[in-house]
Amino acid sequence: MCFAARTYESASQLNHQANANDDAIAVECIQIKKDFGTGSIRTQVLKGIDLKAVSGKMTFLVGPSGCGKTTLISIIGGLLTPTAGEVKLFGKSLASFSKGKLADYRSTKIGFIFQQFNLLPTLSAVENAAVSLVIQGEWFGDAIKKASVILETLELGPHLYKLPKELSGGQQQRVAIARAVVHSPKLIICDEPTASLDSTAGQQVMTLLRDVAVQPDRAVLIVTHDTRILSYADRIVKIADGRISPDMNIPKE
Amino acid sequence: MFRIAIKMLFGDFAKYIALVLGVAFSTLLINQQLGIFIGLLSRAGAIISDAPEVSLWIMDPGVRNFDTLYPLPNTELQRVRGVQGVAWAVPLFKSGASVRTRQGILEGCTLLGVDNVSLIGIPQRAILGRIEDLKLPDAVAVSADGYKRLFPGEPFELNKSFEMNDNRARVVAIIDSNPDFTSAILIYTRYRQALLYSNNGRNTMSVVVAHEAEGESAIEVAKRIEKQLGLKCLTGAQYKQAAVDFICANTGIPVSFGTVVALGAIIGVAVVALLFNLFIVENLRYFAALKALGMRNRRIIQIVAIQVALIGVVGYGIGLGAAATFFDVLPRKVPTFKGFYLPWEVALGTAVIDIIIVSISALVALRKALVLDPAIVFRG
Repeated sequence: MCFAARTYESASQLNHQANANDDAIAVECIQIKKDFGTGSIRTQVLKGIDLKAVSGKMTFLVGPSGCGKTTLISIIGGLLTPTAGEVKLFGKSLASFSKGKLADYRSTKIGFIFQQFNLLPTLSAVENAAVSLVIQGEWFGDAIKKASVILETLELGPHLYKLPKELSGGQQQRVAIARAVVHSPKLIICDEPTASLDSTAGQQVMTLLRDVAVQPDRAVLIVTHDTRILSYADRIVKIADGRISPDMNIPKE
Repeated sequence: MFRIAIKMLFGDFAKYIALVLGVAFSTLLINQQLGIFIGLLSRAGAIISDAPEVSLWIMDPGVRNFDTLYPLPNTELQRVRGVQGVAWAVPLFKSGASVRTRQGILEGCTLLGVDNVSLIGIPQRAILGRIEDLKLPDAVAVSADGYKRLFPGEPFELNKSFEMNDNRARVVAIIDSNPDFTSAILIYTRYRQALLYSNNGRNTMSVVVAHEAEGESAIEVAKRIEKQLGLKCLTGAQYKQAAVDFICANTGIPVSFGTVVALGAIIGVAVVALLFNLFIVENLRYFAALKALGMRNRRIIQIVAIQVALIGVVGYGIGLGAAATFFDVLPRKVPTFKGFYLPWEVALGTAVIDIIIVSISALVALRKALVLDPAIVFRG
């Protein structure tokens, strides 16, 4: 693995850096609470989350099932509204956006990678990768050209025109990575990117994700259960029972 | 966006075909039924249409349609001619009669006896022979489809003879005439000859056909005839409309055809809405992913609109093509179908019905995609 010899900064160093330079803060969660249900079946999933994530780093969110990781990234991605608290992306509060503006913001500033890939089964690999640009209104031909370049980088050159069902799980996830980065977003949110992959494919996807996704002006948030990939993290934030626990140490490979 | 919409639709090709066929079936059914309905109605005035030189039709005041005429005394002809503004008036005889050929074929027919001299009332479209030859003894003209029924399998040929009321009739012309409402064989002959062929009573004249003088209005002359003679007088257009109105008011035909047309539309909506709804439900996960990636609802509406538009256009095209083929081929192959056609107004009306069908289907299905919570993409 190309990151075996990487020198990892400690979580405290990263927090210190973030505090020292507010411009580098990509994601800022302030006392985020989220309730589901009403009355006697009301459940508080997030109980006051404070979190900062900086650009140029991969921040992992880990924790047991049901601890609220996915709810948190849904709120950060503007897909869910918090019951209380505020999310700021690059200094802008998501609460200030209308529904339509929030969709536009997602299409330009955020890239998503899902556990189940969610590639459109009837579009080829390159068309799927181009979807993010098409959503922004880019001409289809231009979008295909840009997507092709990214897919070449992700070693999918020979598979550009294959349908998702003709690709392996790892190849599908690489198409999803291409779709997440093709429009140069400032934040990439990944939900269990390796959960559907075997160990080799998972390592390969994470290597490529780091190579392609991590940029000085881009933050990457990854929710994962997969302990095999924790060594790729710049910071590991642990969530337990709806709250942030002290950061975990990054395992050395 | 267009490509994404089309590729999503074509991805489930079986469902796409079923959707298209749903629209096509509705289109075919509605066009075919309305075409036949309008064809039937226009047949009610076929004999009137075949005599364009006649502008005034004078008859007994009790007459409501051309198929149930009450005979007039022959003196009425002179009285009509005496009305101011009438350029000319001639008698017309219409009656049912039985025909027997030498081969033993027995058929009912509509016998039309026209003025002995002018021969007014016969369509001037002879396929074989000359209309003027009706002035010869025992001469008759037969409608083309009637000839095929009297002499099945035989080519068109003049001087064939048959028997009507113990009198010989000889075919001197074969006429391209529009079938009447009952699809009866139409036989044209001179007025006096027609009386021989039928068994009518004292009064023999069915209607008087006339034309207004130059500079006169047909409607005004018709009113004048009615006022002066106490007879009923209609212009050609009024008479055709009266025939159509009679059928609409006195038969179950409009309700019957209307029911089938309504069923066609309802089945179309049901099939297309159900299948399209299923198609959208099966794609909800991908719509959620697109929404998570930042697609606005208006883009989702565009995608669905493109998809239903394509289904509608292709389905309408296939259905209309099938209906047009039906009306093109069948009247040529089946003589009793002659005169049926597909009016452009029906094709246009069906397009409107199809737009309603696919719009309802889209609205039913679209709701699910629009209210979809994009956060479900994270729920596995």
